Amino acid sequence: MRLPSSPAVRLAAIWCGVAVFFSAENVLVGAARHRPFDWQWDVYHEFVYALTWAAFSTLVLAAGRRWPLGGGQAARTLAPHLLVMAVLAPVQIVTTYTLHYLGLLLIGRQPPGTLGTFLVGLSGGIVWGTLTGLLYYWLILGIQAAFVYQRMYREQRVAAAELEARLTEARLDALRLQLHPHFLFNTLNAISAYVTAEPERAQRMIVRLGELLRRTLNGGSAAELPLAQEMELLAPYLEIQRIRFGERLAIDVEVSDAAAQALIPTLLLQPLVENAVEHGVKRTADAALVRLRAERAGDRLRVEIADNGPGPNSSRAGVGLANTRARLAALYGNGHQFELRALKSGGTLVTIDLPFRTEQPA
Amino acid sequence: MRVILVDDEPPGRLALRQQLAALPDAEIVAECGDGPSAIEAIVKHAPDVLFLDVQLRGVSGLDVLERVGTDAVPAIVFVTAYDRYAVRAFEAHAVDYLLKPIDPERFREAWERAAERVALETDQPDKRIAALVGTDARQPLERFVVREGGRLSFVPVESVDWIEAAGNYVRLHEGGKQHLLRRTLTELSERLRGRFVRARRTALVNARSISALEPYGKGSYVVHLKNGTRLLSSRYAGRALRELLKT
Repeated sequence: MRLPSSPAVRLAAIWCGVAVFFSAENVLVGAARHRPFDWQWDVYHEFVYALTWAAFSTLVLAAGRRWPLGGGQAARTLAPHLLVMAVLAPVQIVTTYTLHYLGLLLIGRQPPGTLGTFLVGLSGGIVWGTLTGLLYYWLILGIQAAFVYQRMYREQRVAAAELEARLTEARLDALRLQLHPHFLFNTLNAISAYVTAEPERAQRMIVRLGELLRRTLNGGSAAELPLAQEMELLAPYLEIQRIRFGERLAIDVEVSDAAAQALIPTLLLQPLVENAVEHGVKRTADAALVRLRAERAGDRLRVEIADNGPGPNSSRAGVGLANTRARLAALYGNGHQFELRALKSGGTLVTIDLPFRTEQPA
Repeated sequence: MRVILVDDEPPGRLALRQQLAALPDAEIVAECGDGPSAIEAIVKHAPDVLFLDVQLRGVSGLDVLERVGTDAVPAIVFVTAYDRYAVRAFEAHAVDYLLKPIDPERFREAWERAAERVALETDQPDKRIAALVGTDARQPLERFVVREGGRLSFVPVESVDWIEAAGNYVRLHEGGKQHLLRRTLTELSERLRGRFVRARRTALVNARSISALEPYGKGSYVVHLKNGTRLLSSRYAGRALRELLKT
């Protein structure tokens, strides 16, 4: 069953359901006890009562939003709830009886006496209704809290699944870059050339290529890992590229000891560094220079990746970069900065600013 | 055969060098790591065979060929790690190419085909490569590529006064200088149509270099060139010469 979309209509419908339930109970219990059917108190009153609650429950829900239960704030939010409840319950039952009286007036079935004498005659009902109202107040809050928690739970699960999907995507991107035919076949060609000329170097390249593929293929599922480990992952790639491009590629890595401990998203650096290398070597005039710098600044980790290639272009803001941004947003929200800009000297500078955290809380 | 290797990765050049080391008739005259130095080396050394990596940093191998002209090197073998589009183009034009890592057997085949082409001793561009690079062999000729003293020089078509057939060669007369080219006069007359006129079976004359036509009887002329050269035209060329002067 689909509930109506408007919250007011939905509330009224739910409370009408409650009224139908209690009316039926009244009628059936009355019939069982051979009591004559009394439409005014068996049915009419239940609907006035329920619809008045429908209106008042919006106030209860508002109070529930204003002073949320749970989240370790119960001590602070309990007092306002007690106060609201103490006022709301008697007002609700008096309003119910007033509307009951006015409703009868409207359809020409005026009860004997004035509204005043009508209410005084129901003082017992008002006391009982107030006590019931206190119960309803908490019932409504409880149901609201259940919905809130359910939604939070669902959102958390969605966020966790998304994060995991992003990591998988990052791993695939890394794999795609390493299996990029240009990289792979040139590396194989280099190995083939070194097999006879420099067997040891050929062997080293084969081992590095193996490491690179193994690390990318069966990396753990942790969303974050220490920077030092990410650097280990990058090392075989960088060594292969150094051999391929010889003196035309200079790679300058500067990671402070403190920064090496910092947790960063798994495979964050790899696509950025690979981009920098690919762009750097596009220069024809002089050697490509790729600089990676990471340092701790108070409670922040700052990572810089610079190259002296032809500068950022649209192709560079490709899928990999979009995924990098999404992963950072999912992991750190507003607590991070990611910037890619052109350097005045030509080339591209990527800066990442993250909260500094380590595996063991420092 | 004189060879130039072009690859932007040192191990890539090493791989080619190793293959060539086994061949007694191969002499590597230059190794280049980028487009500009490749262009410079081709002009400087006028090689017989060029091994050209398609993906160079900054420029592609095809850009290099476009710059120096497809007639600058008699035999060209492309090398590529993996470039779907390039390979498709090579296949389409039946141009020789090598894939990395290089298969020694395929390398030898490519080398033998290159040797056959060099043995032809022609200065005509390889039609397949011209088509690949996009310079159609039927397009009007802009300049001649001349190999002299082991290097290439470029002679603009308009600075040539007349062209003389000489056996398997043609002789370009440019002012006081002469250049030999392994091409046929028939092929050249086709590509120089409208600018050069066939004064007789063995001579093409630049229309702009003609200063006067002196009738010599029976429809033939003495063609006076601005540099003082005089050529006797055949009777059949008379009409073409007169037409040319009208325009």
